[in-house]
Amino acid sequence: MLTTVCVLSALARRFPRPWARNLSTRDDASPSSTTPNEDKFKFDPHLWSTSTSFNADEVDKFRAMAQSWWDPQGPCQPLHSMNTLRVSLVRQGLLQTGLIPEDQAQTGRDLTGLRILDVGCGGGLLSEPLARLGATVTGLDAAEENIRIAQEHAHQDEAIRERLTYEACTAEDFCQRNPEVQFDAVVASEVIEHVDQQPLFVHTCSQLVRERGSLFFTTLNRTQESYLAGIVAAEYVLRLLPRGTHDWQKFVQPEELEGWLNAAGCRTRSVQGMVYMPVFNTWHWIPVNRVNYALHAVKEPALTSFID
Amino acid sequence: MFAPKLAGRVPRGRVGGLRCLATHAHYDIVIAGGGLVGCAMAAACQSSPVLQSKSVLVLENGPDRPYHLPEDYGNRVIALNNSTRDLFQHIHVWAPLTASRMKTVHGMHVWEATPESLLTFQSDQPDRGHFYILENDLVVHTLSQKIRQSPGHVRVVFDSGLKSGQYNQARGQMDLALSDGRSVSTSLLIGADGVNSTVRKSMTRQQYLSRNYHQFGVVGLLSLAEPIPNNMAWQKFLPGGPVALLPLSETRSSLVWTLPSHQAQNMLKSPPAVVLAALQEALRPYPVVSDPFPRFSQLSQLAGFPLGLGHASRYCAPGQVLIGDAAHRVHPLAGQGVNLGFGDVRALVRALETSVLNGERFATYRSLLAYETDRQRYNVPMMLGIDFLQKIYGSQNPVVAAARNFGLGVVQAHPSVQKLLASFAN
Ligand SMILES: Cc1cc2nc3c(=O)[nH]c(=O)nc-3n(C[C@H](O)[C@H](O)[C@H](O)COP(=O)(O)OP(=O)(O)OC[C@H]3O[C@@H](n4cnc5c(N)ncnc54)[C@H](O)[C@@H]3O)c2cc1C
Repeated sequence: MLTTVCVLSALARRFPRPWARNLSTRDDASPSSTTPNEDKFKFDPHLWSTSTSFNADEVDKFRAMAQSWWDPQGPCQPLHSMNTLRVSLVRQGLLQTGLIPEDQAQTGRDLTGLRILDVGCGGGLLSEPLARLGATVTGLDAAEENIRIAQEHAHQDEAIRERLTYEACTAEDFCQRNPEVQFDAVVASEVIEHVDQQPLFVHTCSQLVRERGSLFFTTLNRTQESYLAGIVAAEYVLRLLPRGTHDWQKFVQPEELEGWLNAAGCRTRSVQGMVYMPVFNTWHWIPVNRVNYALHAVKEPALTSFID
Repeated sequence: MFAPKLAGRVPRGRVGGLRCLATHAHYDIVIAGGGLVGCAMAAACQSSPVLQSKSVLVLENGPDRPYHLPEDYGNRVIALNNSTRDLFQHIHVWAPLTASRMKTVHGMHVWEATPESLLTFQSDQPDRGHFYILENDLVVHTLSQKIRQSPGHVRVVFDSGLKSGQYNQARGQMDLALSDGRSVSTSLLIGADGVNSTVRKSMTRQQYLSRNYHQFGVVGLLSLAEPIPNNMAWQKFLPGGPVALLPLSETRSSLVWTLPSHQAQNMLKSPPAVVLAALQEALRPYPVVSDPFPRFSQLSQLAGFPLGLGHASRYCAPGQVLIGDAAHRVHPLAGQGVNLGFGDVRALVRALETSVLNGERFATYRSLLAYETDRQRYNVPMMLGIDFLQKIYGSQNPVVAAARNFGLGVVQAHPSVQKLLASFAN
């Protein structure tokens, strides 16, 4: 273990070390401090020049990967195996918040009757399992190629295709076009680290979820460890992912995410660390969230109901 | 087709209202083999909240024999361990078995040539037995009754076996040909078809390691001269192999005697009284313990089975998986045989449930591999241990025989050997 760390740090010297830079020079309003501060996180739409979190370069990266989404031996292998954690995260989360009736839990039809939005669905790697558990799933992705792949793949399984809808658009577009639509849960897995204007993105996600509904995020923390594991190891040493898949600057600290969620009226229920074992291609929950982590938040009922 | 067959006889496969099996039907699961392990698998699917909704077809080569608990015990018995008890409780067959005919065994005395070499193993849980002795047929019957009575989607067809199976890559399913000419397809073919498994033989890249021990297991029913509590099992390690006396009731015990093939064959030709005399001679000197040693007055229902070791290098391939004797065959000396198979059932159910709860397509190769890893990690060391014991005790090699008889004997000398024996059926 120690040797691995030493090797990784030696290798890391050959790479730019962005954490050495002053974090406060980051180009957006995200704070460098780790304590959530209501004011700092308050979302003010007027502050934003463009009202989209869409980043064309990032979308292109995934467009290039489109063909390999469903190749179990391909670059998306870790995303396939991550389902063991993120599907249970959604199942457990919705059970704990009372959206899944007790007698429906642990039956394999756990999500029956629930509507879930999968933001940044890619080839549908997570949308399909959620639909297979009974949910009606809408998958969004900015890259049309991904949506085409997702649709084609869903078509192969008649058991779920009725419950799957895919749309090539951003969360913001979708929200604008469907102002009335609210989901029981919004999932953004391995997405937020690829979008611009992350607070806007979180705000949009919160608008798309109903009161007492859940938001699930999985992403990478912005730490030295995540630079080593997520970029140096994953993209250069082990070559699990194509180089340039991730931009460390865009990684999100859980406190930041929690702050944006608070500002959007959502309370964080849990933050759990996750770790990937490359040789075994398995994921595990761990008590530290320095690299990969999952966050579950619940949208609080509007305050007006209390004032009344 | 099934229909012409129906004309002359009562429909066989009728569980779940099955009258007729459509040609080209599709099932989520097809279980080849309705023996102990295949029936337990079907019952476990019914009891699982996750797998309950899956359609299951059980194919059994043999006929659907009516079963009535015979007045006296049969000669084929199995020793079930506490893990199997847990499984049976979970699938609700333990209570009917307890109510029927079952012997709870408190422990086992093991000895060798000298009475001083005695070792005793006992249950470490006061409310539980060390293991439980049941008749094969009674267990199969109770399991198949359970399958028939439960609501669900399990169908059993008798007199119809699996002829061949082929994985259809394009459709991600197994296409099966049955011995009566019909064909069905399935997402998962479970091979519970015993030592000569058709499923195993149809797997590509499969290597079956097998060894003939040139030994027979001679089984029979022993009557006691006078009733005793008979709560302990007895096992003596003889130069030719171990002999086990498994209690059935206050007046009956079951004999499982491992013998070199030629000796066993001679014995099977001899009158039972002669065999009984030979047995009594072989058991001497009787161990001196507080538990009364059973004195036998009669031996009946003698039968013999060739013994061997077998292990499949792969327990799974895309769309198919092996459980029970189809995957592994062990020497009965440690009473593990069918318990390993029931352990497979638990592990396979667990792997399939996990995969369903993760929203995966049913029975992905990945989930089958998880089962394989899980089980081989347990079964392989167990099999090697049993094989090692068999080698020491079954060997005619004079050097090994001399080593065996030296001092207190191997059982006493080797902590690992003791550990294995302590786990008899556990
Ligand atoms: C002498 C002896 C003593 C033993 N003592 C013990 C003991 O004390 N404790 C213990 O745990 N184990 C013992 N065993 C082992 C135990 O009997 C087996 O492990 C157990 O029977 C395995 O069950 P199974 O269901 O896997 O296979 P089997 O019982 O062999 O069942 C296989 C079934 O599949 C059917 N079949 C076969 N081919 C096909 C096909 N192509 N299509 C459809 N159906 C098919 C067969 O008709 C059969 O019903 C002993 C074995 C022997 C020989």
